[in-house]
Amino acid sequence: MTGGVRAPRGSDEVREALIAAAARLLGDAPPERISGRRLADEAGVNYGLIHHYFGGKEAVLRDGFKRLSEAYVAGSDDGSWVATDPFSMRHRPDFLRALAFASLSGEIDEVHLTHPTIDAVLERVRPTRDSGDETTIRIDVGIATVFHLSRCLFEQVIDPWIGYGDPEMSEAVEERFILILRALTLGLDPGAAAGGRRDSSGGPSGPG
Amino acid sequence: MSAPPADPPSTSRDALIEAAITLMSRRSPSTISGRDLAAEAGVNYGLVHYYFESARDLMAEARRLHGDWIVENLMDGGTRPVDPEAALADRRIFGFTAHVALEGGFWDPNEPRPALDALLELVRESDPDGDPVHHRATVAAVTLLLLGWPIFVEHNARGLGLDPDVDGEAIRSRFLGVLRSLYSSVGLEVGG
Repeated sequence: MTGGVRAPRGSDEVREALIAAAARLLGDAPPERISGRRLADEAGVNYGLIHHYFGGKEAVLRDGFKRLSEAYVAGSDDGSWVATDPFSMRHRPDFLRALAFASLSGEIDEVHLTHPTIDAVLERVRPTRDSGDETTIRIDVGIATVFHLSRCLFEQVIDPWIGYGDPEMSEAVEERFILILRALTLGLDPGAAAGGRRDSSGGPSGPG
Repeated sequence: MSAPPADPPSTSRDALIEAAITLMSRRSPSTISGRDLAAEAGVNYGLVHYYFESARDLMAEARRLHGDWIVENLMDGGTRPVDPEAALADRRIFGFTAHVALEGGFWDPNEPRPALDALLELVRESDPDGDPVHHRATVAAVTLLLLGWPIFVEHNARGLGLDPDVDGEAIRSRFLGVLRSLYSSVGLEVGG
């Protein structure tokens, strides 16, 4: 990133270059494997500036995560998708990959972030739940979010098998996935949703 | 009738494949060297290049064999679904698949998926007159939930203000209920 380009200068430029570099690198490796030197190289700044402006690489990585998360919440520039769409994370593979790498390496504690759209989903869901305590509502949204993220992360692995060359099957299963996601979010029966029933009730077979 | 003598070379080859599955369940293939694989397998480094073109070639072979490995070891040869509790605790399932998915250009979309095929076959046997879309959606959804749960649940729980120490049992039980609901919609029972 340094060849022929003027090195970032001054507090704002250096900070911005480092955060942008972190956002790029987090999609390709777990945080533990991103060294301060690698960050500095990617940003085209002197290594010592990381400590000068951030106190350490951890703070840069945290801001890089925040940057990815904000870009996801903002949705697309042209309005073609918003973060609350089903499986919207497929549009931000950089953030999804960063989440997956950090989780797989057990470093999600360090980055300490919240899922940016969860509050919006909770607001939407609560009025539809006539029963169920707040904890159960949150658990259901969490399960739905896992399905959302997993569907996007493993898209390239699973989808060729789902379609096996039959585009109609791919489309039909994608519709069921949206029904399943909705059922999980609302605490409805996901098995009935997989079978194509939209207004299933009763929820997943209860605990125990 | 005496058993044929064990073939040491093929044992070393198997050990290298097992080592690749183990290491790839922990980190990306691009960070794993031939020496790492030989050390994990407890074999001489030279054997990596005796059996395979390269470390990458060895890991590609592990990837090709991974589905069969799941069917043999975790589905009793395809006679039952993977036990959810076992799948959620085994990095060799979710960690391996995630690292393969995250590694660009490491996956051939046309390769068979033996573990998915085996589960689909169980579903068809259990629900012979059922809807093929329902069957495929169920197999894929169960697989996605089992793969994604250990990766994303902690992050999500914290994002939702849930405390794994306090709510862990409720979260787990609700999640297992979801899996039971999906399986039972096609007439299968799992996880007790």
